[in-house]
Amino acid sequence: MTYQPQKDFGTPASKASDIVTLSIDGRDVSVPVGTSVMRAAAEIDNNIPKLCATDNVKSFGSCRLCLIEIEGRKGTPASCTTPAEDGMVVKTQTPHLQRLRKGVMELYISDHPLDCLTCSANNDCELQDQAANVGLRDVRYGYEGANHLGEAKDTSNPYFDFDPSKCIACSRCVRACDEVQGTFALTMDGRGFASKISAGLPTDDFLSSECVSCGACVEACPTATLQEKAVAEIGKPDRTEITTCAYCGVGCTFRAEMRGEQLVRMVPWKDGKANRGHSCVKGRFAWGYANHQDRITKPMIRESIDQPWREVSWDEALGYAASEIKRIQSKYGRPGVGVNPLRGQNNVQGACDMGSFPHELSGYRHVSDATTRALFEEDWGVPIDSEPGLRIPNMLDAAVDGEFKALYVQGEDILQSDPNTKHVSAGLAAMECVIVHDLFLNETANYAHIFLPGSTFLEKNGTFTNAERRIQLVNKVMAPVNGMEDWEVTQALAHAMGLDWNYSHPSEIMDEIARLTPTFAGVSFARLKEAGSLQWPVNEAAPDGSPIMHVDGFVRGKGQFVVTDYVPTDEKTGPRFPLLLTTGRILSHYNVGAQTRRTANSAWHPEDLLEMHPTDAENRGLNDGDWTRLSSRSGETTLRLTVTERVAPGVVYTTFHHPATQANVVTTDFSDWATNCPEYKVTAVQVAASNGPTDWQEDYEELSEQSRRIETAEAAE
Amino acid sequence: MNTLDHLVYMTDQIARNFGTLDRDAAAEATAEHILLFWDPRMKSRIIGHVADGAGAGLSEVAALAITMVAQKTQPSAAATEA
Repeated sequence: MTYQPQKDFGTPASKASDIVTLSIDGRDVSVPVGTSVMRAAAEIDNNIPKLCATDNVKSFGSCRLCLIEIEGRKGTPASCTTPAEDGMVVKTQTPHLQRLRKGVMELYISDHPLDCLTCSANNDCELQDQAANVGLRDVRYGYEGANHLGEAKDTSNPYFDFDPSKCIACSRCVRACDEVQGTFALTMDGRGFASKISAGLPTDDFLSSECVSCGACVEACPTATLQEKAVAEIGKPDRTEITTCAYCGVGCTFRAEMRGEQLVRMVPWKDGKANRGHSCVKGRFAWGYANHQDRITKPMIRESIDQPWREVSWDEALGYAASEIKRIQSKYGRPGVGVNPLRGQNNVQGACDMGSFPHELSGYRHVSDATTRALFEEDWGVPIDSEPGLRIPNMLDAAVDGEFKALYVQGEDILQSDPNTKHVSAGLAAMECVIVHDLFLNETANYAHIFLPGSTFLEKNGTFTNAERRIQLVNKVMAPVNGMEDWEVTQALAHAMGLDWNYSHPSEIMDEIARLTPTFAGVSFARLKEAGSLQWPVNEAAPDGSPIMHVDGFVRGKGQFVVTDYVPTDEKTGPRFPLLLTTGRILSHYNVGAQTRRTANSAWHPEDLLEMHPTDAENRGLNDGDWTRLSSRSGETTLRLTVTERVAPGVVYTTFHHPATQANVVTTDFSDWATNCPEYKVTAVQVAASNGPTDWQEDYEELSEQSRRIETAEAAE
Repeated sequence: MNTLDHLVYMTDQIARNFGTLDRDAAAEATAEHILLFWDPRMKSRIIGHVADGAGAGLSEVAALAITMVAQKTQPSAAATEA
């Protein structure tokens, strides 16, 4: 598809069900009550000139460009603030309106730079378009008078610039910040000629302000005032592809806007049913990791983890992986295997739906169910064990006991994300074969013997299922730099193991899912493409999916309420460890940060900080910015302190985004009884002043450096 | 915690969750959870722990649950213990 901006109807859609019919320039149009005349006109591709209106925010009526004439009424009302009424007769283009609009544009342009050809918004600028639409040919006022042309650019945000010299004070950015994002970081400072968009206090720039860098203002801006740095650098995109974000379970859909194979920008898709044209800083801007210098694009192997990595061909890597798996199977048998989903990821729902659990087949059917097993056994031609497998914490326990020998980890970094790092590393070190399939040499890869390079979400086809069971297509926008999409790697490994798999496209895998999973019976790539997205169950009873489940009852009839006893944590504070540590994530980073740390998102969060209440800090003689030692019964680490009232007295908080901190050295392996979900939120700790990294941190850094050595192939090759 | 201690601890926690039920019902619910969600190696290990001695560390309900698990576990599943 060639580049077209998303259609802008000027004002939001009305949700009313009653319909009114009006005539616009001699053509009848029927719209729901509450629709603006501007939107009604846009519905029949009559695009009334406008500047301050955009359909993501409420109408404002400030630019005076969208004026219309209505039969039987005086004056020239703004079409964005005039609701359509039954029987209304509207004219959008008359000599009078033309003169008025030209006059308005003339005033705008008299205080706007005329550098269109070298402007980053050239050919993608509403001001430029409207100047053309109203036939502006001349500015009678000259350019000598007072103006804003010399205003300095604010380049503090790593992803977009703010150039006030190009601002037309339409307030679209301010309203987008308020109405779309809800952060209220932007404001219109001053009045009249002195009006100026301001981020936070006068002393603030965009980076230091409350701005969360969601990009809603950039998307709303009709000029080059707020624009992506990438567009300024690369130029205007020339094609677009709809795809789904690879970060969290919201499952925002985006228009990937490209020039050739180069991604220019990711623009939230207005028709995306999960995000409706909005997103956060990660999906909108933090995709640069795909081309980061740390990206590993060639397979690598080594016999033991004290050796450097050796780059090899795909054939050699997969052959080695297959022979290792077979060797271990024949030596130890196959007890205690298990499949586990990537937790906390965008597609965790999809992974779980597919039976990526140690005890389930797809569609949440327990492996002990003989009928379901028979279905898969017949389709796949292999027997399926009726017993559950192991969960990750149990795998690691078994590995430390010497009874669990091999692990294949795809797209997850358990060494950094899982609790009690020393236990995880002991488990990994005890295994004979650890395969890591990832974009980068992550922390887990320090203990790996085989590294298979992965593909980013931009480089593969497939689906992600978000937290509301919404299945959405992921579309390849560029070729995988590692040579294969991830599903192709899995198939190639199957070939190396001697299996005859012959999928040629992920849509065939979806067909198999639909064949074997009743809740997915009606899902196919063709249906997904046509509908945009589908919420499972999609079957005969619900051919268009199920936005709400259990509407009239549950499978068993009425819901069953069960009284359960409260099982409190056994982690207790005491004299040695009087504080409670809670770990979590922040907006700008994603989980272990493997992706976001390799983007400019690090500007907001370059290191993990320990947040502590002022009272606790004072009791310990600690000040904001001090190096502190954080210790628990499991281990200790050092990190810098932030004194803040965001946390309650007695509680400290930190994130686990940075491997240098390794917050999970401190967390314990307590977990919940039902799912073995780790207890990240309750660890008894003590905090004291520190003058350097812990022994663990120093040893681990040395291990990482040693473990990441890569012996490059001979030049002769 | 080593693996066996961990299994004892988890069994006790499951039993405790069903503390509002009477002894037999709680043991049955605990046994059902273990049968459905524990891998054979874990099951046979905790069964062995109860069979070998008195099942040190297990609460009354938890120990009863494990005897129920042992009864319902097919010998073939228990035999997969390496």
